[in-house]
Formats: sequence, structure tokens, C-alpha cells
Amino acid sequence: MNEEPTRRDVLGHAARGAALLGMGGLIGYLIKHGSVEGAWRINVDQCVNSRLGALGVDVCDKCATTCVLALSAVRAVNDHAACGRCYICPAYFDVNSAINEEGLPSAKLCPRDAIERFEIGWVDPDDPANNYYEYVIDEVKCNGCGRCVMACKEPAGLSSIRLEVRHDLCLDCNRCSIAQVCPDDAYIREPTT
Amino acid sequence: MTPQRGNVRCATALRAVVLRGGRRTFIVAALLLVSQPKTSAQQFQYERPVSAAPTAEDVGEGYETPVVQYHPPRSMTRELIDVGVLTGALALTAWLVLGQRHRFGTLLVTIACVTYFGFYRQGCVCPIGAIQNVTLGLVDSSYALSYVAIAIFFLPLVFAVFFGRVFCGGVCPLGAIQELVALWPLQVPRRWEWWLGWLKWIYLATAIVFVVLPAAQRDFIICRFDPFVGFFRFTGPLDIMLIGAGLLLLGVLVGRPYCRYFCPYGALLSLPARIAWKAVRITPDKELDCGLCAEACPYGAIEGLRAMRATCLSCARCYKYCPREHGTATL
Amino acid sequence: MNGVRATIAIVVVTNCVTTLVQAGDDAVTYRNVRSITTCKGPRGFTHAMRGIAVQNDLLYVVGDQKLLVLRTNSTLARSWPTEHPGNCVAVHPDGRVFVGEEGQIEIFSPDGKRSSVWRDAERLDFVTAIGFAGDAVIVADADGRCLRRYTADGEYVRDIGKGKRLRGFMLPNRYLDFFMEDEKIIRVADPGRHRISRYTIDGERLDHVGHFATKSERGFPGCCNPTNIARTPAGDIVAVQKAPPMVKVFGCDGEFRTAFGGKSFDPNCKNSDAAVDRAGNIYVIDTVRLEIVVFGPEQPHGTANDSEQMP
Repeated sequence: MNEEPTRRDVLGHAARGAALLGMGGLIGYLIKHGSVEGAWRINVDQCVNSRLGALGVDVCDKCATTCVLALSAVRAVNDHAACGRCYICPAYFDVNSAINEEGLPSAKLCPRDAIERFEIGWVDPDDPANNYYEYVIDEVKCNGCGRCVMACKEPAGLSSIRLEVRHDLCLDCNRCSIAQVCPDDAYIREPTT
Repeated sequence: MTPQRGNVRCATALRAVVLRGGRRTFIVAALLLVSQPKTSAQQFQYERPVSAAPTAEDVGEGYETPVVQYHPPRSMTRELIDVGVLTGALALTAWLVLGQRHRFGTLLVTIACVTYFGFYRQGCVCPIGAIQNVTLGLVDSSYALSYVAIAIFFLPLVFAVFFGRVFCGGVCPLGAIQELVALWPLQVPRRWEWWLGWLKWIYLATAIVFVVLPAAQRDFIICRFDPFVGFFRFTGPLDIMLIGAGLLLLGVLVGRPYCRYFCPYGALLSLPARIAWKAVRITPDKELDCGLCAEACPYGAIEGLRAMRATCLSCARCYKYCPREHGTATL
Repeated sequence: MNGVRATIAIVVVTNCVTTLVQAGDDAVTYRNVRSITTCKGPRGFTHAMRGIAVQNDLLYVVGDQKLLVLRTNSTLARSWPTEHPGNCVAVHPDGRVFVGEEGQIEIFSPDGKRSSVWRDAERLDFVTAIGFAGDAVIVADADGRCLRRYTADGEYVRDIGKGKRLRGFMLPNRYLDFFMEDEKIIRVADPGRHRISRYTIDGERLDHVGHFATKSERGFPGCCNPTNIARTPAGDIVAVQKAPPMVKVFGCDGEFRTAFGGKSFDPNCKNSDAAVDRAGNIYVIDTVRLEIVVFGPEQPHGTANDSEQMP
């Protein structure tokens, strides 16, 4: 074991040293231009479902249908601080359905019945229009189809609902299948400088 | 009234950004000894021109505005755990294969890794796909590659310089899923093996070309045609799933067809593996030349009763079938 | 049929008599006559155009820190700056011009000199309508979700529309609009409840008209409509809705008259203020295009039975 290192050993060490040095150089360069993390996000000002001013267009449900996950990592999120808590919420009710005996639209807008509606605060027993209502999106049911986002958009609503990527579910695919098909390039990866 | 509420929200978000960014900066700086990482943007500021939402006071009866549901990106701690698991699994495989020559232990590591990196992490982030990100990071200075991806990509290569392709043998979830179905592997004729071995280089070159293309035509084909990731996620495009199923069926008779003939990262790994400091080695023996190891190797990596460093996947099968092997360490 | 309805209405609301007589005679329809575009541009508004009022054939329009006085032939008569962006404008019978802003009301003399400012941190958060009833000045505070009654000198008297059993007006659109039906009665839009309600200036709630509707144009669609209301000389209610923007005219008993103007506005219009001149022309702001859309009444040469054939 105490033999002199052979020529082969010396060459091997040199080659390994060179390989490590080369990799070190690449790593150094990449770190210099790198970032701590990157994540897919939805730019709400680009997304056709939430972009102000985009009216009379069909709802885009690409986020719901193209994610590689069985249930998309995209969810609708209601910003409660901005929610009008309306008696008749166009994102909850299908406002094109027939009126029922209570004077409310008979159908719901969400195809997965993911929005819950209940009275909050002081409740007027006589006049349901006198109450405020909370609209809570069940993120286990929601698949991010964007219908409620579109319906709540200004000027019809207050735009309190938006689509958001659930980062705990998103697989951070290199080639995000939603970003491939997003018609407005609203599905972006951040950060890039 | 409304602007004040907006300001409070802004301030909270800003504080979260500063805190989170600061902690990450510290961890990463400590880990990789880098200075000035780019701060990452957090949740989009979502402000609309007019907000007339009723306040908690308007609602009354002690109502409190619920917190907006938000799931932060995967925490840096968990990303670091991934890197740690990868490093640990590489070191453990190197020790089991080269030190202990322990086939069963290696198999257990393989199963653990396919569970963690495959089914739990659903196949992302993997060094195979990271080839494209690293290439992009090298050619496009505006593309910010995440530090975790850098670590995941280079760790197996660094290990290969010292211990050969231990990543392939014990850690890679794509390799593992094929390893588990390699039930009756046949020997592929050496000539075919040589020709087919070039496919992965072509694939690697094609993948790099598709990444170097301008952003509009850029395509991450390694991820797009990843044949097994759909099995980890239990869903995927039908054509890719069928290709994966076909490769798995083929893998019953031909050991690890994807790794040997297609995997672009395997092509890369074979380079440092050639100069590996320690690697799977079949010691010459004057009394016994049984050749059982060569027959046992499902990957055609033993030529002339010597293990080829470039193609050996460090599975330790040869040791298991060696009649003289008594588990003695030579490391 | 019409006669029966008229009798009931007369019993309940005595001040509607003239309107009902007219409504029984012929159904008024409206036509988009023209658009006034002189208020747009560097001499007019560049960002926002919020409130409009008509007095003596002059249009008073407020928007980004500016008040314009236009003649009905679209030419600019006067203009002067306001301290904050104006939300609404009202002209007192004595000629003074009241401009409602965020946190205050500015009062100008007819030639544009600022005579005084009313500030009330608690009660004038976001003023979106002003009306005069004899000695009283009624102010709509959209952030307070109620009407405030002041004396002519700016002394606070009382809140209207908010009480123990009453939650204030539902205003997801942050705009509260009303007009004075006479010296005692206020007609106020309650968009969140899809109603137009009546209150006395002493805060007593009388009744309401209007209801939510999906496809029928007789009601109000969406989350919060109508946003703005105005009164015709005949006493009809002009109600402007958003999403889609449209103007609807109701009799003072809530009887639906006509709906029009859907195509005259930018579809993103909201909180479009309206005013009616002595000839019955309706002026509605297009808040996106920064124009005033003018609708003129058309009297069809029909018989008394025409009103039965509603659109």
C-alpha cells in the first residue's frame, strides 16, 4: 500500500482535479446569475378572466384543463377584504338562470359547487336583502376554471376573486403545460431578471 | 379609508417578503458561500382602483374578515431537505456498492429513492431535466436558475468523479422504476449495444438545441418526453404514458432500456465516471474465471470480465453473483 | 287596467298625479340623439368624469379636479378647478354650485369663486350626491352608506337610511345616488338590494320600487344596480345600470316604461351619473369614453292604449 503512485494514478488525479475545477467554474457562473427560487404565478392583470376591460369574451378554463395534475394546482381565491358580500353575487349565482320563488337565480355558476354562501354579522330575519353574505371557495373542490373570476370582474362585480397557483401542489414543471397554452401569457415564471 | 386598508395590506406583504427573503438569503449564503442572490418576487400585489367592500364594522356582530387563503412556494427548508436526501442517498449508495458490495442494501436505497423522489416529489426536480435549465442558465444570462436546481444537477456529477455512476444505481427514480421490472434481462449483442449507445448523445444534443433556440420556439423536450414521470403522478399525456409502458415492458427483458440508450444525463455522467477515483471493480483472479458476473450484469457493462466505468450503473449485482465475494471491503 | 293602478298610486302617493296622467296619455320612448365630446381632452377631462347636473340649460360636469360648464349646444361656457376630484355636482336654486368630493363639499359662486368648504371627517367620507330641500341640504356619503342631512349653513342634523334595524345602503360599487322628489321626499338608489327606495327627510322609510331580474329588462341585473338615478320633469325615475350599461325609465309608482341605450355606452362603464333637463332630455356620462350621451324623448302619435303594449 505504500507503493509510489504510478503514472496512471497521477494522471487520474489530474483528470479528476480538472473535472472538479471545470464543474466549479460552471457552478460559480450559474450561481452568479441564479436565484434563490422560482415559481409559476398568474399575473392577474394579464389573465383574461381577471383583466379589467376584457368584456364579452368567453371564460378561459385552460388552467383547469391542462395542468398535469389530475386536479389542477390553480385555484380561485376570494380576497375577502375586497369582496362586496353582495346579496346576489354573480360569481355564486348563475345570473342568467330563471328566478325562483325566493327571488334569487335558481342555478349556481360554479360547475363543481365549490362556493359556499352564508349570512354574516347581524341577520335580518325579515329581509334577506338586508344581510351581508360571505362567499368562501372550497379549494378542495375548486379546479380553477375561472368562471367565478370572470363573473366577479369589474364593472359587474368588485374583482375580488382571482386565480392563483397553489404552490404546495404545483410541481414546478420546467415545461408547464398551462403556460404553454395560456392565451395571454399570464402564466409566468418568476423571478427572471 | 380604502387606501389605508390597502397600505396595511401592502405593508404586511412587504414585511413577509423581507423576512422570507432574508431567511433564504442567509441559508443559501451559508450553504453555497454566495453573495447577493437575487431577491425573489412574492405574491402579486392585487389592487383594484376602487374598493367599496364593506368593512368588518359594517358587517357588525364581531365579524372578522377571514384571512385570504395563500399557499406559499415550497419552503427553502424543504428544498434543502431534498438536496440533503439526494446527497445522503448518493453517499449511502457509494458506501453500499463500493464499500459493502451489498446488493440488497442497494436495492433498499433504490426503493426508498423511487418512493421519495418519484412518488412523493412526483419526479420534480430531477437532474435529467435540469440539463436544460443549466444549459439555459449558461446561454441566457437573464434566466435565473434556482440554486436547488444547480445543486441537484451537479451533485451526481461530482459523485461520479469520485465513485462512478452511483446516482444511476441507487438514486435515480427513473432508473429505479426500470430496475424493479428488470426480471429476466437478456444480454444485448455487443455490436447493437455500441450503436444504440449513441442515441443518448443524439438526444442530449437535440435537447440542448431546443433549449438554445429563441424563447418563442424553446422547448424542454426531456421533460416533455419523460416516459415515467406520468407513473409517479398517476396521470399524464396518453402517448407518453404508452411509450413509458412500452419501455417498462421492454425493461422486463432488456435491463433499463431508457438509461442505457436514451438518458441524456446518463451520457453526461459517463464522462466523469470514466475517470472515477473508485468504481465497481472486478479483481482479476488467477484461479477462477467463472464469468458469472458478466452473465449477471443486465446492462452489458462487463466486458472481458472487467467492469466498464462509463456504462456500469453501480447496481452491485455482479458482487452478489460472485462466488468469491464474501462482502469484504476493499475501499 | 291603467286606471286602477293610477287610483291606487294616487291614494298612496299624492305627488305623482301629474306623471300618471301623462303616462296614461302616451308612452315616452327615448332615442340616442347625440354625444357631447367637448368635455374630453386637454381642456376637459383626461382621467375621470364622474358627476353631472343641469340647471337653466347649462350642464355642470365634474371630474379630475375640474368643473366644466357646458351649454346644451356642446360649447364650453366656463371651467374652474376643484381641490379634489369631484364625484358629483349640484346647483342650488340660488345659483351656487356644490361639488361633492372625497372628505368635503366645495361650494362655488355661479362664476366659479369658491365661497366655502364643508368638511366633516366623520360624515363626509365620499360624497357622491347632493340635493336641496328648502332649508335642508341632503348629502350622500357612499363610504358611510347613508344620507346626511345638513342645514343650509352646513350644520349636521341627522342621518337618513341607517338605523338600528337598517343596515344602511348596500353599495358594492361605492356610489350612492338620490334625487329630491319634493321638499320632503327623497328617492334613493339602493343598488345592493336592487331597489329604489323613498325616505322622508326626517329619515322615515316609506317604500321601494324595483327588483332583481336576470333576463327581464324590467328589473335590475348583476350584483348592484341601479347605480344612478335622476328625475324627469314629469316625475319619472331615470335609472342607470352597469354591466351592461343601460338606462331604464320607471313611473314614480315603479311601473316600467322603457329601457334603452345599451349600445350607446362603452360596456365597461359604471356609476354613470345622469341628469335631465327641462325639455326631458336625459344626459348620461360614459365614464370610459369620457363623453356625455344625450337621449331625447319621442312622443309617439299613438292612442291612450299604447301604454299597454310594453316592450
